[in-house]
Amino acid sequence: MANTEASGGQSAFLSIRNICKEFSGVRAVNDVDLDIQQGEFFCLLGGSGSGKSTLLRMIAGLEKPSSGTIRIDGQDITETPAWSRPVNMMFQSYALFPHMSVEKNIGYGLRQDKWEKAEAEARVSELLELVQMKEYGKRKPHQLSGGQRQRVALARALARKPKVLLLDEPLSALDKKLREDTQRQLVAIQKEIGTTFIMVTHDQEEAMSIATRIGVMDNAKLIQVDTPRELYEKPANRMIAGFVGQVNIFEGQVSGSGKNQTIQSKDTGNALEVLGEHDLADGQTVWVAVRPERLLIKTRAKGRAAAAPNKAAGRVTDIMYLGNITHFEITLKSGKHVRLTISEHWDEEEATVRLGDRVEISFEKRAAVLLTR
Amino acid sequence: MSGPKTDFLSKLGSRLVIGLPMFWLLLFFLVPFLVVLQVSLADLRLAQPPFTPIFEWLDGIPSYVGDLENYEFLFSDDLYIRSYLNSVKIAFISSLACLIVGYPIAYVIARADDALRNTLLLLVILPFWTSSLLRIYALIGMYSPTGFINSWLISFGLISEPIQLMQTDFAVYSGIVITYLPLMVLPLYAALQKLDEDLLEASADLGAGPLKTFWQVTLPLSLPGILAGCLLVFIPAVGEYIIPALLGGSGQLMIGKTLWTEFFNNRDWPLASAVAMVMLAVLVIPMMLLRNAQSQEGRS
Repeated sequence: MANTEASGGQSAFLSIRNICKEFSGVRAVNDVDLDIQQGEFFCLLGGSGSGKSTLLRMIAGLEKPSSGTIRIDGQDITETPAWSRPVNMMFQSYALFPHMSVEKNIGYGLRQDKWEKAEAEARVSELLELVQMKEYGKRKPHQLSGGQRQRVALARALARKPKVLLLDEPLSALDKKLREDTQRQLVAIQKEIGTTFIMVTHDQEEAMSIATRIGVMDNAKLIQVDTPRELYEKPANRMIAGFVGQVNIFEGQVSGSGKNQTIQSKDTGNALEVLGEHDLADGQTVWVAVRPERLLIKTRAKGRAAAAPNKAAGRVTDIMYLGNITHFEITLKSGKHVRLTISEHWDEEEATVRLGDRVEISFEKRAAVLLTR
Repeated sequence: MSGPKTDFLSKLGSRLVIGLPMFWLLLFFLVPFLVVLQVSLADLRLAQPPFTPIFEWLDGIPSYVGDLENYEFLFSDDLYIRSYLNSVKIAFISSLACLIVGYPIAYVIARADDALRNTLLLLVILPFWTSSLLRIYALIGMYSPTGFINSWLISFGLISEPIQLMQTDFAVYSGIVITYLPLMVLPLYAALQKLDEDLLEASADLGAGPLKTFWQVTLPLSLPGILAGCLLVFIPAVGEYIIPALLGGSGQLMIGKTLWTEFFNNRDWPLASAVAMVMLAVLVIPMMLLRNAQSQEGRS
């Protein structure tokens, strides 16, 4: 798997091995291996019920794994209770103590660790500065806005200088505009302090824009761990291809073997060709994924079929103009709907495509990703 | 449709909703209160009713002839002061005992899963459905020299003579705790149930073990429930009559008992009324101070 490559053989900072978690017979996390390096901003991406939050909570010590080990910085912490682990968590609900001021909230962890009073005060004011909340130290949580509470929660989680900071959907309660600003701040803060961040999110755009690497979870399993670019360009299966951005998937049947092997698709009515060698069996069903922006479009004369590999004929059934980009929906002769996106610097021919036009779509070999699952 | 007629009707409706309970309180609380106040200012006389009026026609003018003699008498005889203090002491210790017994119960109920929680709540409320007198007699059956506890202890050979359980402070306290426990558990449960589990996890995550989390998060956040529960137990416990009368010894001075004696045995209605008025003051003044303090804290 990609994660073992990323660790490059040397032992990882956070290393999770064969972790399972069962809740009354149901596997919430199923045999997960994961290595995370120091200073990474790692995102666990997945839908609800995929097990991503449970995995995070096991790292925090808030759930006990059914089996497997967790090591941080060479130290096995699988059996360590939450209050003795060198990790801290920022909760989705922020979980600020309502009876304590902002300062007291941020200093809570320092009091548990019996910091010197002066040192603790200095640390609290340093953190207030980091999250730009200097004037709000004396306020109670209920006197703050959602964005301010989020920043206090971040400062509180960072106060004890954890080796790993865990963030459970930290931005989900914020509105869209604030969320984007906060994403940037989060990345800036992570760069500044260099702590390893592990964030859980269901928002693929958020994961793509923040993370150095992303782990995609589905149905209790960790399916793929890669950089955002690799995840987008080389998804491991159809689920990930569809989860990370939009994608067109053409189904095909393998026929023949060796050099003469071809993939014939009912969706396009043509052969599908991709780069590279693939070990495929005769008669196997495979899928070829092409991103909407990698599809090419041109008008087609009546009756002229698009008979060539990686081409298909169809009609434009919808055009959505968004200024910088234009979305097309094309219905192929097979009845399959295809999405296509053109950015503003399109060529003359593309500009003349109108709703209802006969068109030919095509894609280059290098734009196609072969999927076997 | 909101014509002037429906407006009038809805106004009338809302006035009725507020007005009826107000009228009820006026009739059955304020009026009796004023009657007792009036009696407490009067003098004892051997007649029917056994007190003098406090307003008389003097030379054709209605004039006030009441006085504070009864109150002066209350403070001159230390019997009354001692029974007030003893009542407050017993009520205070009982509230504390209720809190200590009730808190773990409320905590377990609040943390139980849904199905179990309702059963446990029912078990807490269930004894309230039987008459409190019945429950006190059940206690007598347990505590008496030939009761359950003594006969068990003797049959197990742990003691040879019955131990004195009745007519002790312990009997009174346990009686009050058993009677008023639901009044403590329910507000505590309400406060603890509101407690967000994330806060406990956050506390653990920030390095506080279970005990530290309890002191720093759970306890302070359940303080409103603690105050409400203590008030609900303390107030009726101060004026409690039945429990000390049945379970306590004759030496057990409590203001409820003193009041009973003045009213029924000595037939000194004015003095009994004064005892009742002072008891009200003993209860209401600290409560108002507490409420004031709470609302001030809420504002800051």
